[in-house]
Amino acid sequence: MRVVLCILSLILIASAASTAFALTTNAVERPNILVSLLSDVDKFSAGDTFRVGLKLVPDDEWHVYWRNPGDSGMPVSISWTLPEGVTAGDFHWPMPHKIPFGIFTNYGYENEVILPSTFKVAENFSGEAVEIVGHATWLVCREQCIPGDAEIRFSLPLAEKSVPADEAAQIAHYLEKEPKKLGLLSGSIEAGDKMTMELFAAIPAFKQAKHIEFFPVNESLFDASAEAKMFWKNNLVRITQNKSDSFMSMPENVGGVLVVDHKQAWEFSFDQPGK
Amino acid sequence: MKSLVVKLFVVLMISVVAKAYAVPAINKPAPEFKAVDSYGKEVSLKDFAGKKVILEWTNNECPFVVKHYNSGNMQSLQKKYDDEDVVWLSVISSAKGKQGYVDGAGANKLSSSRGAQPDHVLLDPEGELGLKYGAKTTPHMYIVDEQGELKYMGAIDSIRSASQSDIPKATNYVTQAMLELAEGKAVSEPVTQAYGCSIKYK
Repeated sequence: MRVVLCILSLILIASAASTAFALTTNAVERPNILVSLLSDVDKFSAGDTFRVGLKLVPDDEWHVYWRNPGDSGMPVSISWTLPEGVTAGDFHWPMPHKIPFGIFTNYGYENEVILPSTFKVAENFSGEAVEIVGHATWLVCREQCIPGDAEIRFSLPLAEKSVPADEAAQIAHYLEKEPKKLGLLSGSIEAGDKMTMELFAAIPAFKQAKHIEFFPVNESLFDASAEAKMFWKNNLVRITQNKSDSFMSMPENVGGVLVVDHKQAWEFSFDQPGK
Repeated sequence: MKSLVVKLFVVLMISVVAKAYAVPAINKPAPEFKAVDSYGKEVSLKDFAGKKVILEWTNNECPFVVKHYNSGNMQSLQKKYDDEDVVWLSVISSAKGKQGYVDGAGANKLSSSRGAQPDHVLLDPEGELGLKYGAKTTPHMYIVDEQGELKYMGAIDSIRSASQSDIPKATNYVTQAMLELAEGKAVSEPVTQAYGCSIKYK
């Protein structure tokens, strides 16, 4: 009981402290990483949509993981506790990059990253403020890995009209790194000696491309450490890469990210007929 | 000149390691090996012909390994399969100087302090055994049947986390496969994506 009281009072102190800072929480310090939440609005109104970002700042040379972490690792995740009438979407994942470690390759972020989520508030939401509580978990690694978690909370006041926050630009910067949806006219994948995937986009997204990098969203399909042989022309891209060691069967839905010339990221997905 | 030679040597070493990395196939003979255990005894897979063998890659400093040892999960599996006359081999592929590396005495001390009871702890600082099996993470689990065929490789269970509270909620792939094998069935999930720390190879 005493422990519970102690925890409760700590939470009360923490929430009191964070409400004073409203739109970006104090950074929570965990081994080799600083973690905070920030919002792109100072105040919101009922019926609004706004973004809350989870900001992770690993120490120099340390990294956290994308949704498909590659050969090892664990994606960052967050679970929200929200009042009725408020919902949060999944992370808008900024494009990752490849992080080699010995003979392995991981997908993640080596520097600061913000993972924004879209929040929606019901038209009939009432109350003076919304209490946002996010329980984040991550794995931060250099050569060694340290799992971490934190419960971070802040309060956002309700107003007649929403008011953008200074932090909006920071969140927007990472939203711009989120891959854009790439419509496909067709997509196919075949597991032979190697995995071969062919995509025909609705637009000539690869016409001017000098370099294309591929990140599979599905795990257990492609070997993250193997080189991807890429062929592209106008709307077409063909990827040949070694199969994952843990490949067993084709999933119903196959997805990935293509980064063109290190800046424009596209996300595609297609269903496998008959699956 | 000297640094060039060193660089060349490093490049050579990397390519050697990259070449040695292999992935065994399910329902095919598991890779034969010779390794030295923590008592200095030579152990090879064929010593255990006629018995099921479970291989467990481990690194006592890895948080995912800590999850399964501090909870007692790994030890209880070792005990359970020891009672069923299954051979349990814990393998340490951390290179000398890297996280999880121990010598024989260190490995024995760990077994006693963790209450672990593998039949052997295999010391693999050169990474030969690990690369033969395509072991990527700690833990990484493999099951070899009485005929020496590989029947399972992958994660210990279905929830990738470092949190002990997830263990009871997860499907344990090792017990699932062992149960199916005992019932004479095909293993329903013979390959899964292992989760954990990257093995700290040389």
